[in-house]
Amino acid sequence: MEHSPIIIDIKNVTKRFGKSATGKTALNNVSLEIPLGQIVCLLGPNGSGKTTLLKTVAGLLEPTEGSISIMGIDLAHNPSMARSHIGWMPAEDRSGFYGRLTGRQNIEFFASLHNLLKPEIDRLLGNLSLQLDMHDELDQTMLKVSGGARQKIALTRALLHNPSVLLLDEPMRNLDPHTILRFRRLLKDHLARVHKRTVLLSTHQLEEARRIADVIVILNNGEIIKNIEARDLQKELQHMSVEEFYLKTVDAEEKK
Amino acid sequence: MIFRTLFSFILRDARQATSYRFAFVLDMASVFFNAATFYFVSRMFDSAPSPFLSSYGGAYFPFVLIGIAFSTYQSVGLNSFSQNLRQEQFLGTLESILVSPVRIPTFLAGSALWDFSYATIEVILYFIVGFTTFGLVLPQANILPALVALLLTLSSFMGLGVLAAAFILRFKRGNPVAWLIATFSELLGGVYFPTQILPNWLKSVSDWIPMTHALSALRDSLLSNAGFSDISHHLLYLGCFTLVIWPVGTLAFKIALQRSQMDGTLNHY
Repeated sequence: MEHSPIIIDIKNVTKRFGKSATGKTALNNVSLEIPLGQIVCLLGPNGSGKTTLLKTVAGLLEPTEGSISIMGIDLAHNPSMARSHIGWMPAEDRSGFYGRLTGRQNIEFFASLHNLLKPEIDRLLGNLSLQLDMHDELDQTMLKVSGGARQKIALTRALLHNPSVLLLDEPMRNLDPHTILRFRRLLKDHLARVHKRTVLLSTHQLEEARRIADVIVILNNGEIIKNIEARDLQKELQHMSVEEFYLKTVDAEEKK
Repeated sequence: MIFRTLFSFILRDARQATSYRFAFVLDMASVFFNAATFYFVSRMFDSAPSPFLSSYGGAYFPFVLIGIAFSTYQSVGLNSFSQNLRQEQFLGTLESILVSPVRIPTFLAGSALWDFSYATIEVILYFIVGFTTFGLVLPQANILPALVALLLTLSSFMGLGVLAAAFILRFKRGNPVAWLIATFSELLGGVYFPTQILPNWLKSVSDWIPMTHALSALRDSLLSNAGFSDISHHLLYLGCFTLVIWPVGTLAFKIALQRSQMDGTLNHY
């Protein structure tokens, strides 16, 4: 069987905040290898380390120990080069935009930081707005758009420069079922399968995670407590729902 | 490529600024009223010109107009980087910028470009108002040395601004660099009066302040026809200051950024 190259390589990453003796350990010796074109979904209770892991892979947080490489480029040694391969979508409450600018103007600005030219931005934006069913939202100032539209524009911003790696923090929050379906098709069928983009995303929507992911990783207290391929999940579920399976896994870890 | 990125920053900020049209009108009106205030103050000295102004052509209005116009650059330099950084933290846009391949010096320069451009519009307006409304004349102006002095002034103040931004990134509020420089420059930099008035011990402090050298070089070349050799000591000071403050400021910013990435406070404000 042909092995796909590892695109995101997280090796023994520990992230502590504050002084090492008294500080909070947000990630504890986390290792994860994500091959080309795979979608990995991070699940876990609030404070389990999902966002910290995503931010560390994005280079926004520096690991206390361990290393991360993106497409074989060490994030610590060549951050600018590694970051050029990343599309980043922060969680909705932090998905910062310039409120007085329109969605289109915001996207033009962020795309230009990736050296995209205006005609290219217009072409890519046209494609993505069709795929995400965006119409007038792009031409309204960000102060006026709804939470769902804001989320779509944030996703567009992450995708526009055609990155090899997508890091998405709760991308489906605030989206209506219709848009979630479009989003799933775009991510799974188009970006991962056809264009071989590698995706690491976090979510609280368990059923969506099962549908979208190739691999599900459950985090608790900064540690990976389960790393399971989505196709094996069905066997593990037996008569349980995804929610029951998740709670059982987290509860079992808590009791240890 | 860098220029295209810098243009994107300036376009972004111009779009934001022009969405507040009334603020723009008020800013421009302030320039007029500021110039008018100092014009009437200067009328007090018309009958008995101060000997301290003799080396600047004897008139107070051109002297003070240059002071207030060009000191705008200092306040922009000291505050622009830190205020824009704080704004990015507040809006949550800082993370998305830092995940992009843009390098930190480009980000810093880009985020302040619009403010410096805006300050330039204000400076030009000060002179237009001076020429058209208050009878300003600069018969002795030597433009080329003045332009070089202006460039070195800008680079000095921008370097100070980067250092000030490092403090904002690390300590969120309280900017000792901006406070210290702004306070001392106002009093000792010669914005409103010639530094020759100061007692000797204060004059020696004043000689260490970049504003003193910036305004002296600009006034000498615009009011007294001074050439490069006449203002060379001021240019040398500003050049050396630039060479020291930029690496210090950039290093301080990198350390502050690294510390914020380590303790997860990058987006805190």
